[in-house]
Amino acid sequence: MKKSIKDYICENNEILKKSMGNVLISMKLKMSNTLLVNTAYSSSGAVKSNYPGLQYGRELRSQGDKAFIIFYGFEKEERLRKIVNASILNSEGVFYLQLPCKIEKLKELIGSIDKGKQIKRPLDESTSRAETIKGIKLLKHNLANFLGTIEPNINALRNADKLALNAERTLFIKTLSKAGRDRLDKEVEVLERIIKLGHKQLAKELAVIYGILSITNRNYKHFFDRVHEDNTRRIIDLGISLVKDIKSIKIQLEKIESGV
Amino acid sequence: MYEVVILISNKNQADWERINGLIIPQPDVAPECIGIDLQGRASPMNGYDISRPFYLINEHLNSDTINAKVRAILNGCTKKTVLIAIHNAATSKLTSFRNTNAHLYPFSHEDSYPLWSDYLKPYIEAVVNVNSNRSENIMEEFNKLRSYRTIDLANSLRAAILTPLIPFHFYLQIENPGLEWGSILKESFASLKKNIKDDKLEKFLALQTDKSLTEGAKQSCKKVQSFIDKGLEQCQKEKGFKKAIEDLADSLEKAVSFIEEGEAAK
Repeated sequence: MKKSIKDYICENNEILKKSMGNVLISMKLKMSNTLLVNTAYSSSGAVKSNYPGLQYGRELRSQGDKAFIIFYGFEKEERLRKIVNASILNSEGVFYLQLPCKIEKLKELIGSIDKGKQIKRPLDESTSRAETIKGIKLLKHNLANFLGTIEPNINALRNADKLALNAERTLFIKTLSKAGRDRLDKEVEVLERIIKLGHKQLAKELAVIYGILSITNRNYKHFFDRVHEDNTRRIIDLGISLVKDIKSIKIQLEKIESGV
Repeated sequence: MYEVVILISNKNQADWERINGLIIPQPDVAPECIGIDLQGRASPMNGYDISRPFYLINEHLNSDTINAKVRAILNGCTKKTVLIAIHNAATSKLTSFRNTNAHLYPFSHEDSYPLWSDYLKPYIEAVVNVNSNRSENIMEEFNKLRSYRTIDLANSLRAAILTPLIPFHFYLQIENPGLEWGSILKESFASLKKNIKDDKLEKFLALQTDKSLTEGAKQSCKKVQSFIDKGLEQCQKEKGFKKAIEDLADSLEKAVSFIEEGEAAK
């Protein structure tokens, strides 16, 4: 589907969005592969940080989007550069325009962007590092949640006497069904996203963890499929091994995080 | 900004300590509630003045208990600004709590405080009328509120003041503007009038103490207002309006710099 000019403007204020769109049309400015993003823009409408637009730009680039980005807002660029999220301004193909501005300036800026040019690294070193740490924290958090689902149930199963065993097992199966067979798939995806950020120093270590997590994911699926079977001892053994693997991944992530 | 925070979360105190590293137990202030204060602990938030009572209620409690706890806190702090944040809000356990709307709004600054009308009110309404799609962001929003500084408020007010002026600033630079600008300028003009009615500039200027900056900003604002007073048509015609907008933006920038320097010096 052909994009309209407004699709290239990330702006929550409808009037400002229309105005910017009209300016671009009247100046016959072509926007393909260039986004105009208000530093206050929030894609969900919810305000996540002081400059959600900058965060939005970071997320786009983190996901491998290589569009040129022109941020705009009312702050002076030098002040904006001091804030935490603003390291994205140092990334390749990212610009800032302070409003109110001369239309000519906008025209020059858009004109100066070489549309044929390929952005090699979507994120600058500092932003890439920050996003990597953020991703690792998220993954650790998610894995802790996963452990919270599995470990207490495994322990309960281990400690259950004959009378309680069936009830514990039913409860565990219920919990697992809720978590789903694909529960770890999304964590693998999170790790894939972290790797794609392209933090050179961590590439090897993350690749190793990716390998372990993929195997653990496979083991979890196997465990999920077998949990209905009768051999409780086997289920407990598989569960213990799963918990051990997840904990080991968490420890490795912690090591990476503290070394970054 | 707000004096009491109530966080309803599916995580317990230990979880929050682990995740945020910034929660310190305090003696209970309200019956059966865990009072926690964010001061004094080495944490990313340590630079901010957070001395307000902060309550954490475990969402796993049944809804009657949650209601009782929230009421106990609210009854103990009438006429104070209260933020109720619900983390991981998509749970049926809060249904009856959400139905007790009368107890959710003991706010004292409803009309006079810009942060309330511009930010907190829609936020709390969104949280109270809980939407599971938003729950992911609630803690991030909550953290933002917790760290709100004068400079952030100044930036937000400046954006509110200048945003409806930008369409005019663009329009006055275009040689042959099309008819499509008509509705945009009409809407912008209505926003400008609303800003004047809401005393946005006064609220902005109240954030800083420099008299010459205040005077400068007031003069620039007066100039802009003189165009607005002439009506929409004149605003579209008079090139001087563009210069007046630029001057106003400059004077607001100076005031923001002043506020920022003041915060940096703190």
